[in-house]
Amino acid sequence: MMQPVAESDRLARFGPPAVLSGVVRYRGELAQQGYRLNRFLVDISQHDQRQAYLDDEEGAMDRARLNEAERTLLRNRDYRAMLAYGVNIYALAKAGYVFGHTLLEIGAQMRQGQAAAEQP
Amino acid sequence: MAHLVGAIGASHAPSIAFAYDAGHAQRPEWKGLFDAFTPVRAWLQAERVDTLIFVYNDHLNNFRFNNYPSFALGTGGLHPVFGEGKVPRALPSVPGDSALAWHLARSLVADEFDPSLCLEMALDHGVMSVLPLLAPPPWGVKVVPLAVNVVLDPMPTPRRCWKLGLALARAIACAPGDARVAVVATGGLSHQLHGESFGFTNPDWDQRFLDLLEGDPQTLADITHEELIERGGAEAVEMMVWLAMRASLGTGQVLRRIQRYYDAPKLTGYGLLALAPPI
Repeated sequence: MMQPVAESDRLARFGPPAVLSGVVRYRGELAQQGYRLNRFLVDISQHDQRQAYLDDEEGAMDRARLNEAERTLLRNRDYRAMLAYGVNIYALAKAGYVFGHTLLEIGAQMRQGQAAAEQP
Repeated sequence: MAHLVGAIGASHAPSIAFAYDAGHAQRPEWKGLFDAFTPVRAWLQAERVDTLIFVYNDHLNNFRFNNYPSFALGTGGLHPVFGEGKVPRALPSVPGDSALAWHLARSLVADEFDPSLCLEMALDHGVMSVLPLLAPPPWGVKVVPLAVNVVLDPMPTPRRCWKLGLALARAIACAPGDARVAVVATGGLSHQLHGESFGFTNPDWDQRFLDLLEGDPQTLADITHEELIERGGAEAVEMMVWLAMRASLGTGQVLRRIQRYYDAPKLTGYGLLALAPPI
C-alpha cells in the first residue's frame, strides 16, 4: 500500500512557484462579459471577413452591435484593456493579424504597460 | 483487441507549424526540435502504428465560446485543417478512424466520461503543429482527436485528465479489431502569453514536470490548476493533458523511454517525450 504524499513533500517535488504579474484567470464571468467582443475578433480573423472589416471598421462594429466601450477598445487597439474586459488571448492572437500586429508585438505592448504603470 | 504501442507528449505552437510550412526545419533555431522527432517517427513506423489518439486543445477554431465542451471526441472519417495564419495551410485533410472513435465514445461514456460527440471536427495547431513531425503528409496514420477545455474556467482538473488516460487505456484494450494505437498529448510546456509577464518560461519546472511524469506521475496528478499556473504560466495550465498520455500506459513507474527532448528558445518551453510499455 502506497503511503499518501505529505503536502510539504508534494510541494517540494513540484519546486518553487515563480513570480508572475498580470496573470488573468479566464473565468466564466469574465468570458461572459467579453463574449460579444471575442466573437467579433474571431469573426474578423476569418480569411473571408478580414478585408471587409479593414475596409469599414465602423460599419462592421455597427453590424455586430458592439457597445461604445467595446468600440473604443478596438479603435485604440488597446490589448491590455481588451484582456481586462474579457477578451481571450487566443481570440486576440487571431485578430492580431487583422490589426497588423504579431503576438510578439501584442506581448510587447502588454509588457510596456507594466513599465508605464511603474512610472512615478 | 487493439494494441497500445506507446504514448507521446509534445508541445504544440503556431510557430512550429509556420516553421514546418516554411521549410525551416534545419535552421539553427529549429533543428534541435525537428531532429528530436526523427527517432519517434521511426519508432511509430517500426511499430506499424495505425491510429494516433490526440488529446489536445483547440484555440477558438473548431470550438468557440457559444459552445465550449469540457471534452470533445471527433468521430469523423476526414478532418479538415485550419489555416491560422495569413494564408490557409497547404496540407491535405487528415483521415479519421470512425470505427475506433465510436468504440472510444461508447467505452468512455460507459466509464462515466461523457465527451461531446463531434461528427465533424477540424484540426488547428493543437494537432497540426505536431502531426506532420510524427507522420508527414500524406499522413499514413489515422487520427482520433479528443479535445480538452484548458482555456475557459471551470476546466477539468489535472486528476480528471489522469483518469481520462486510464479510461482511454481500458477503451483501447477492449476495442474490436487489431489496430495498433498510440496516445499523443499536446500542449505546453511553460508559457505565459498575456500581461506583464508575457514571454515567461520556466525550464527548471518543465524538466521537473518531465521527471515527475516519467517516474512519479501519481504525485503529479494531484497538482492543481493554480500550482501549474504559478510554475509554468497561465497558458501552461494545458500541460495537464500530458497526464492523459502518461496514464494510458498505466500506473507503473518503469517504462521504456523512446525519446526525451527539451529546449526553451522562444515564447514556449518545447518538450517531447515518447514512452512505451516495458517489453
